[in-house]
Amino acid sequence: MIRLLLARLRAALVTVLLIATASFALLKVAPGGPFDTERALPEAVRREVEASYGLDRPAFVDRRALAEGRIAAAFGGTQYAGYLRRVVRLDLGPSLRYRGRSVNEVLAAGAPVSAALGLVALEVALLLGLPLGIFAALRAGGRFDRGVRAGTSVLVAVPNFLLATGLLAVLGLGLGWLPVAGIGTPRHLLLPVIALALPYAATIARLVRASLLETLYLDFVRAARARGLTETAVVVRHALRPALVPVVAYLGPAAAGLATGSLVIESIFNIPGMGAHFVNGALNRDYGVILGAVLVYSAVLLACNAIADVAAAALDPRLRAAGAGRPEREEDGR
Amino acid sequence: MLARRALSALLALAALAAPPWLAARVCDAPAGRGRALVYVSGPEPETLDPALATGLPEVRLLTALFEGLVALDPRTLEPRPAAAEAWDADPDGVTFRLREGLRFGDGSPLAAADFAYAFDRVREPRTGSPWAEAVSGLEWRALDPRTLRIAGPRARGDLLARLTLPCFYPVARGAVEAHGERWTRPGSLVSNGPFRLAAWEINRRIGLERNPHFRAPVGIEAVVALTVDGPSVGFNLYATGAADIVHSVPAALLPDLAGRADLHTGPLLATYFLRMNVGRPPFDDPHARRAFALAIDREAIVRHVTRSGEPVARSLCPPGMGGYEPGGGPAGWFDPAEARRELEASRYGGARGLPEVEYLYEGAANGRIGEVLQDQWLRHLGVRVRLRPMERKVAFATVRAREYQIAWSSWVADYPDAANFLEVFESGSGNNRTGYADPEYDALLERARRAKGDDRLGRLAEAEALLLEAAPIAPIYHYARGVLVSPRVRGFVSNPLNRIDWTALELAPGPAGGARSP
Repeated sequence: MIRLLLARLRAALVTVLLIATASFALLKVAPGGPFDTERALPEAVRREVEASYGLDRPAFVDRRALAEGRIAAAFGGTQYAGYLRRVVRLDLGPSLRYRGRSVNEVLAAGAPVSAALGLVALEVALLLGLPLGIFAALRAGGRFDRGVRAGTSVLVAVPNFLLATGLLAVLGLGLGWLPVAGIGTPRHLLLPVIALALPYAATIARLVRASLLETLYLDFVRAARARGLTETAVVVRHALRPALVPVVAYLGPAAAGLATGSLVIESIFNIPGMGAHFVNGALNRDYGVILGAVLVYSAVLLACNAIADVAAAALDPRLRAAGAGRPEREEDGR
Repeated sequence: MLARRALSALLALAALAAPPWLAARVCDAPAGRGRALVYVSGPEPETLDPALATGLPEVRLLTALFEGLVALDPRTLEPRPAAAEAWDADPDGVTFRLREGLRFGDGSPLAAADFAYAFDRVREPRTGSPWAEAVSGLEWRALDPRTLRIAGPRARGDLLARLTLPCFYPVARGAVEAHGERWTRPGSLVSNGPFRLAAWEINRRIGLERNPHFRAPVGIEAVVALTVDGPSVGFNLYATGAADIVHSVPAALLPDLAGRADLHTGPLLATYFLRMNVGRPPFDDPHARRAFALAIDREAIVRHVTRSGEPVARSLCPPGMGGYEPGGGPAGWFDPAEARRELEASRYGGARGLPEVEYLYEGAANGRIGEVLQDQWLRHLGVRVRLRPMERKVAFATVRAREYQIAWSSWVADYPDAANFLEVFESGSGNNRTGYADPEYDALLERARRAKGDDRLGRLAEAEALLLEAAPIAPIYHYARGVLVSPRVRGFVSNPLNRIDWTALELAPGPAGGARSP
């Protein structure tokens, strides 16, 4: 298991490096720069500012140094090299929009807020979705099942901005029960958590229902029933565990998305999280912020996927035999 | 086995409890909601360094934190004494006399040298100040701790109005030298205005507290500036009583709010206009430029598209800036027949002779105006114009590089003076971007700088008439404001710069915000 995780970590580092490189390249080819605004900076000032951020240096290759044969200088003195050197030290550099602020500082202000909101929403989604899906599967075709299927279809189909503004208009502005924006008190989190959680709860319920229905007719479940176990024991001890594997696989990326902030929900409820940085960072050409947000998201996504894989293996013994064992043995053979 | 089960149960419990625990930690209600004035500030401020800030949210905060030599009277928008109690103007410049016993918020004395230091910073390119042009043509010297002399070729004309720009606020050298770029943080920002910076939470709020060392009494104990992106959130906060002032009311709501006592409306000192690139056909011919300008039915745009009570623009300069009477452009402005005559008089001979024309803009709101323009140019001129939407930064870069034919534009007054608008189109101005360069226009502005009073305003009006006749721009409308102010805020004066006169405000006891009024 440890060896597997180490291999995953190695692959993850390479992936993050590739993502960093690709995002950096995309930003550099995107036209328009951070200082293109309604009010132009005087030319001399603009040059000073760009130089202070190293934006006057070549992006990837210093062609002149390369022509003169100074290989180290040709690649070492570029914006890209400087960026990588900082990223390795976990320093995401200065923000180009918020003068005097570091990207680390900007992201660190939003990350805990998004993580808290996302994880609470995930928890609510699980606590709602799992029981609904399980009971719907056990009474497949019944009235409860039909209700769950209809309700979850609607929730999956309705765009989340519509759900969020609907909740806000009714519970916040209309009835005045809940605060409409910001994160002053835990009560402030109720509307955004509900708006975030409901679509995920619906997806989880549908996944669990479908997967459990399939599992209930597998041989080992029928064998368990034949041994005379109660239906509860059959479902809880035998059928449920393998049935949760697709849910866990879905939860990996879902958790990463939730924990790094939803742009839509955060802007509707004015949540000072990470979500807005993904869009505003790009729109403002705040290179550091958008690259930082992408890197944080990639790291969280890779981590969540790794956790999901481990959890899936723990849930279903068949996955342990198939997925986990083989690469280790191959390496041993060498 | 039992131990393992207990461990699993414990882990599961911890996993369940962790998210709510984290959530409780990120929440903390702002203290003293009742005694603090809460207002919707706008997007996260880019900076609170007076040498660097340009946006309205930043400027509103800076007017609370700092005080310049002179300040704008919120009613008349005329400069009035602030840190300076009096000044003497002579042919070469102005000598300012500071008030006695002025102090920064940390209690240290404030002297004329602190103003000189701040101006030096703005001029120094390494500071990266967008206001470097505002101090050019000026020389300054602290003659003694209470006397500041400002001279130079541009130390006349609109100097007093210009001095209300934040870049002319005094800065404590010690704070900047000790903290570098980070001197604008709570704890290190030293300022001389009615309030001090108490807290700055990114994307969330900025807290100000009353400055006990301010030279005059301040009616409000504390201010909370909420960071909000987008107009509907601000309105929601106001409507539920979570904010006392909001400056941007969604246009769609204005008809419903009309007539309410807490809604303040009026024009803003800002103009929406089109830029035409005089270096590119067909706009290299003034007849063609005038034709496009004359074919715009501005009334239709403000009535059906923007719909916030915007006044139609007949000039670049909005009305209501001192005694300035805007210089007239082509008579009547919307005149389809005259527009066609102008197009025929151009060297393109009419709509058929024109090259393809593209209208460049960014964003959905400008796109709606673009569609109306497209339709009007087709109907009134017979010209088919292609719309060319662009991403915001790309659009600015494209216009700056003058790789466009005709494009959307706007200008918001930094200080209430016609020169602030007209200097944009001087031939050397970095904000010109049309290629318009007329030595006569430049000379008129230069003469205005050396003149005073009505003579100066007359020169400016002559310059504006010249600009509108050459038509590198086509004014469309002046912006309008809709500000909601809670009845518990006393002393609020709504003004066409959308500034807040911080020292005049008081909070009456009672329900906060716009409350749940019917």
